[in-house]
Parts: sequence; C-alpha cells; structure tokens
Amino acid sequence: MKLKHLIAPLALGLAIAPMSFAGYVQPADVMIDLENNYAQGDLVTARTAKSDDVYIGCGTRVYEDGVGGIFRTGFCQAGDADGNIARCFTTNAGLLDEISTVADTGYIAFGFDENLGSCLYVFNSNQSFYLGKEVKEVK
Amino acid sequence: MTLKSAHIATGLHIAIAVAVFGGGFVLGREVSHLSDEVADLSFEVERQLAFVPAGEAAAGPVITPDTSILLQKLSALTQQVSVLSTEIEELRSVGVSASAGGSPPPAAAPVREADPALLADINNSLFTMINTGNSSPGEIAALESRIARLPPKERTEALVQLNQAIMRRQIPASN
Repeated sequence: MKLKHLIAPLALGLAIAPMSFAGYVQPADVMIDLENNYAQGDLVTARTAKSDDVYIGCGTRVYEDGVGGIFRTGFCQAGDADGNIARCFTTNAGLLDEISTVADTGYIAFGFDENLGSCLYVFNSNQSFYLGKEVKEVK
Repeated sequence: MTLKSAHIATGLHIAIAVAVFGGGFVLGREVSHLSDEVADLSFEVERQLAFVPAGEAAAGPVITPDTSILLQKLSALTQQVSVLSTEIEELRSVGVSASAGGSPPPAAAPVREADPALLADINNSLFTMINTGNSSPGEIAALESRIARLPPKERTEALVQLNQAIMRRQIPASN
C-alpha cells in the first residue's frame, strides 16, 4: 500500500474530528424552575443538548406604533429536557437593554410573573467556560 | 375606641381626606387603596385593644405582640399616605403656579382609545392561531405589529395572551 493511501484517510479524520481545547468549563444546562418562576441556561449547552426539546434565548422587536412612535418589546424563552416551557415578555427599557446584549455563546437567566408572564429580571453573562471543551465547526 | 386608637384614626382620616380630595387621579387611587388597608388595620387594632381584661384596662391598653405588629404596619401605611399626600399637594401647586403664570395648567396626556375593529381583529387572529396551532413566523409578526398599534393597556393584555398561548404550545416559540 502506498504511503499516500495511508495519509489521506488520516488527514480526513483529523479534519472532521472535533477540536479539543483545554480550559475550565462550566456548562449551564437549561433549567426551568416553575416554583420560583425562573429559567436559566447557556446557549451552547442548550444547542448541544441531547434532547430536542431544549432551547433558551431572548429576542427583541421594534414596531411602528401607528401614532408616530415606536413600540419596543422583548422576550426570553426556554424549554428544558422535561418538556417544560418558560417565557416572558417585557417593554421595560432596562430589561430590553439587557436582552440586547445577550451573546450567542452566553448564559441567560430570567424570572417571570406567574400570572402575567412579564419578565421580572434578565441576567446575561459571557464567560469562556460556557463555550465547552469541544467546539465543532459546522460548515 | 381607646384614646390612642381614636388619635390614630383621626390622624389617618385627616391624611386620607387630604390625599383623596387633594387631586391627582393616579395617586388618589393609590391613596384610596391604602386607605382601605388602613381602615382594615385600624379595625383590627381596635378589636384587639377591646379585648383588654377589665383589671388591666385601668393601667392603659396592653400592647400584645400581634397588636404591636399591626401598629407597625399602621405606622408604615400612615407614612405612605403622608408621602402620597405631599406628592399630591406638589402636583396641585405645580398646576396652580402654571395657571398663575398665565400658561394653561398641564394637560393630562390624552388617553388613547383602542380601535374596536383592531382589537377584534387581534382577538380573532389569536383565536384562530391558537385553534389551528400552526402559525408561521410571518403570521406572528403580523399579529405583533397590530398589537403594537394598541394603546398601552390593551397592548399589554394582548401580549399576556400571546405569551400564555406560547407557554401552552398553542403558538410556536418566537424567533
């Protein structure tokens, strides 16, 4: 067998293998606490979760309000592996600012009013340890 | 009614009267709500003080731990009423000085009325989306853009309904 026949599969294997990194990791699984009306998790851990039900994120919207102004609203939502869903919305400028700074690899936590579903607080945190040891490059 | 409770009640009634009749619709409502709480607490304090044994009554009212807590609450509420009364007075004085200066008093922001047709359309859309359970992102965006055109109160009510529908999985999670 020629050498190039050995090298080619080896190179291909290295190319598609996940890149492993050192460094501290502290993944935050998506967790929904319906007693305390709280949800949390980081986006990378949610995206790579085994369960198809798991997700977490926040978003904002800006609409023309029909009377010459704008209407800003935002929301945070999460689904956990047990099938629970948590979601809140807000029109509070401070909370909207916080939501706007959520990074795609960050950690999110939010609390919500049980009856109204309005957001009571939003946390977000960007830490290297949420990125995980293995980052798969998807093309 | 004991002398002490009568004094408390009289002071509160004066403060509440000033607050309620002093003006300031929103603050007035808040004061009205607080006054109800004060009335309830006053009644409870009086009830507890009325149970003082005859032999001890001569030495003045006995303040039990329960009564003490109620009195503390009463005191806190009285302070709130007092603060609100001051705010109402300040609002009134602003109005008076503006009038005295020749400029018209500050007009209350016009209250936007919800367009009944728009409101019905939004409710109808929500109902349809919930029943079909299969809404596209475009449909949800269109619904939200109509919700944005509602006055604040109705807008919040619609957002509450939308949020609840998503929580119940009747409408897909937002993008």
